[in-house]
Amino acid sequence: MKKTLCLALAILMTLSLIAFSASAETTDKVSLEIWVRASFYDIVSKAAAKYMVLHPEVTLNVVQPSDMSDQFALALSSGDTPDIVSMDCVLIPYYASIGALADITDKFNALAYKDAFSGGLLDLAKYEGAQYAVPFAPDVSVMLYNKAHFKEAGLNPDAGPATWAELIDYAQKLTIADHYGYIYGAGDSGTMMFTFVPYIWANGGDVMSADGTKSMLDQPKAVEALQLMCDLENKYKVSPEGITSYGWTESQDAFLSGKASMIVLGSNAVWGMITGKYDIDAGICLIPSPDGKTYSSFSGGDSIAIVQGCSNPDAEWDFIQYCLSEEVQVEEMAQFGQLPARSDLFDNKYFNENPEFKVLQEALRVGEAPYSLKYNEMYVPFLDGVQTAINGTMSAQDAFTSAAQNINALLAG
Amino acid sequence: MTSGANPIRRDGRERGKTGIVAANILLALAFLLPMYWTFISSVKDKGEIYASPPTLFPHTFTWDNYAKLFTAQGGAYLDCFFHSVVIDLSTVLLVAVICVLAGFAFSKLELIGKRFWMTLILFTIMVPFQALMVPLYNTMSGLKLLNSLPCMVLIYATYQSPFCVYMMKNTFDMVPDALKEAAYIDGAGSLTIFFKVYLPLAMPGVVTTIVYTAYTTWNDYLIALTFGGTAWKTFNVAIADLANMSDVLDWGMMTSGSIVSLLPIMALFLGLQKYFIKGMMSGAVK
Amino acid sequence: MTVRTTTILEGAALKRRVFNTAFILPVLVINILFFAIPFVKVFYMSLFKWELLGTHSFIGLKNYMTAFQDKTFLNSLGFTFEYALLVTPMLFVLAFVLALLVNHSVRGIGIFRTIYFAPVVISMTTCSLIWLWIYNDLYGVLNYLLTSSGLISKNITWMNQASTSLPAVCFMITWKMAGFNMLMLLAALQGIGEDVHEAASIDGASGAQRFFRITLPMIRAHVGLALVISIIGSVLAFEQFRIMTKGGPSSTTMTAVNYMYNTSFKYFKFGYGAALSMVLLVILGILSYFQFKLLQDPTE
Repeated sequence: MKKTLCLALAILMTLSLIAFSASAETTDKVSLEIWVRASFYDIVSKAAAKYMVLHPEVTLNVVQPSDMSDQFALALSSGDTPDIVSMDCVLIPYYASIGALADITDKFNALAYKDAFSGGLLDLAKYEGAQYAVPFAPDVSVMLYNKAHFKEAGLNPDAGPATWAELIDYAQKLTIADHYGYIYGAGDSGTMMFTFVPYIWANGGDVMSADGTKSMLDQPKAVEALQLMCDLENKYKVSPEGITSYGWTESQDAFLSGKASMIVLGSNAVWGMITGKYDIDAGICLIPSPDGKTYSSFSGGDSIAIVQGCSNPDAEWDFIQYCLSEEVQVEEMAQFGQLPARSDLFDNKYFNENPEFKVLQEALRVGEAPYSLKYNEMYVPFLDGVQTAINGTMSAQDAFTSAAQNINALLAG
Repeated sequence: MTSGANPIRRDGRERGKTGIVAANILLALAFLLPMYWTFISSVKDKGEIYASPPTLFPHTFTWDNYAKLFTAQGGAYLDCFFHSVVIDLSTVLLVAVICVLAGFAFSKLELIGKRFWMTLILFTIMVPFQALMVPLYNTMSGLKLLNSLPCMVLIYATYQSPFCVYMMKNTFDMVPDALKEAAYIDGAGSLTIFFKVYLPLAMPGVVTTIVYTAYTTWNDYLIALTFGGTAWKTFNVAIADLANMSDVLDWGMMTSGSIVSLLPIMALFLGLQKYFIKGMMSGAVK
Repeated sequence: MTVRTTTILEGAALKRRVFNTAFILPVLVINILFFAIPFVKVFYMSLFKWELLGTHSFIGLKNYMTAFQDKTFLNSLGFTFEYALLVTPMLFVLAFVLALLVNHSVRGIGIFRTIYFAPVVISMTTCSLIWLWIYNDLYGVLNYLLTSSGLISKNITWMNQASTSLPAVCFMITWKMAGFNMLMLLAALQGIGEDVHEAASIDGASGAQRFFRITLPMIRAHVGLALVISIIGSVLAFEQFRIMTKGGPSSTTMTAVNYMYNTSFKYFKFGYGAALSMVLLVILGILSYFQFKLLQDPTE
């Protein structure tokens, strides 16, 4: 008897758990679900809270999935998608190409401030001529340097390296027993895209051709940039030996613990330094240009889009517009160190207080971003090329030639 | 080693084992070193965590990193901790019951297609979960179970049962049939035999199953991430988020979170120690 | 047993077998619902060019053909097996030593068992992150200890090449997982009655003889299970290398599952990713089959 009871209990438990379903949701007139990446969760939640006060008939649910890109892919596979998504701008082309995002060309063109966005970021949000997303919270790469180290090395702490020659010179003076001159995260393709590719762009080269069909890594302009990194590593020895194993965290931690004097980081780091969150007195400048004339930066960050097949495109666009308004872009973003997406809002009281933001604005102005439908896949050969060259296994020319071949093969396949 | 003299003292403990104890002390200290590093990092203040060279004894001492676990984001970490506890207890209960039964059946009972079912169950651990994520996500979405407690518990139970079933089968296999015969002769019914004879002797196996399920569920990242969403975010995912979701890794919270995460399962394990008693068999057979 | 007529005997036996099925029913039900069915779907996906949205085109075994020519995949398989071959003996030797050391009823033995088991309870993610921090060549504590004690003269760049990162990760995994195998072996050793050992020592067998001739054979099944679980776990290694070496440099420490995961979730080639996992499964299946065969109790 006891035995049968036990079995029955187990079976019952199993079945009841299966039958137990999530409680039915109460539906308001309009209820929208928004997915954002963690870095921008605070901004969007606050914007949503303000919006709901203004529009009581709308309920907004802001979610920050732990691994946004993977979770979004999964959601798409089963149709459980949110209504609005704010995602890494470099992934927009792929999602637009598979029809995951709604075409907002007309809505966008109706915006009064449509010309105030970074051209690079806007292009990233286009697919076959139509607009699928709007730049929302840009992130740009700039160089940070340790002012105390500069002073000790006899360098002017108020001016970072402006040219490649100065970079080499400063780095050599800054490399002593305790710390290295220049560091970056050559272990991770995302980090290298963000911190290294601007060197290629400033030099007049590119990763891909303008139409995105062929890789340009094997061209001299790109190879020269890679050669710079190799020289810094192997000839001048101003970068640590283990650099191809560092990701974003390791390189940043090295800078924060005073083990490296110069590093390329993003806007978040700039804000951290300004607010004194980290014990480093840091200076900020644009990423060094080969000749001091053309500068570049990686304009990344998030763009916001409407998911295809969602419930209420007009309501969603209304909220997106609110996110692009001064109320959010200045009061929620600029005030807390986040670069606004609209250049017409750059002139605001918060930014005018801190000269560092001028650097960020300039970086956004000169910034570019690579357009690709196979972003993640393409950057594997790129990273392999960088790593083999820096580790000295191949020359810079051979490494990038091989990388270009592999990328071209990928695009063809 | 010992010949002639009874190695067991009257109080049940063994004599002449100082060498064993010494060896254990040495090894235990070596094992503890990385935990020591984790702990002292968790009580250092931010400046000292980034100190170069690293300090082996903390110069500053602060419980801030632990306090932050309670206060950050309005007690979010506490919520996640609670989620982990609930999910864990539910899973352990379900798995313990169904796997002890199944293990017993595979070991001692006659079944149709025993070999086939056993192979199928073993199959489960050979498929990387990453491969099954998309179809399983679709299934759960279809059943409208996403981001719910039953969803997580059922998935954990499915993927932890194989090991537990096999563990219990092996455990029951080791119980000699002689005991069953002896009990039958004494006139006991089959249920009594199960509860009074088999189960007590299988306790080390049962404890292993419980502990395995407890810690595997507690530490899981991928399933919790994919199927828990934000509604049932677990403590482990919350701590891992410190690395994935913010620009600068807060090592203070990462280490304090790791230590706190350890404690419940360690307490469970320590508490279940008494079920590992040497020589349980010898008394029974004699 | 009493002699009965054939039909009644068969009937009773059948009825018993059917009733006994109830014992395994819960496990089977959830297994079929949440493993077997999704698994069939994965196999199905592997025969298609499966994009995230839109139509999927049937390509039969083409994904598998690509897999066998995919250098990155083959290299990742090679690395994965190299890792499994290195870490498994390390794990088991330590696990045995620990199990034997804690298989005594000494006062406080529970504390030692708990200490050895503690690392098992740390999540792989945080463990990898913390050890990555420890191993860091610029500010990590390990290099600091090694250089300041004079054991090495220059910092070792642990994660920068497979020759150092592989042993380093193996060392970490051994520390982390030995306690679990210790637990399994302990449960097994406990099942061997004291009387067996007493009888053996009375007969004059030495400690070592007793271990190899009596103990090991009796816990064969447990060792076998522990080995299978451990090897499968090693072959399916994912987080440790993903976090610590990021698969590099130049994809030299890319594990098979890491590559499969990237294929599906970073390159969005779900059909190909499914095929890769099928290949992995077949390999593991063959491995496990031989392992079980080898470790089967010949008296069974």
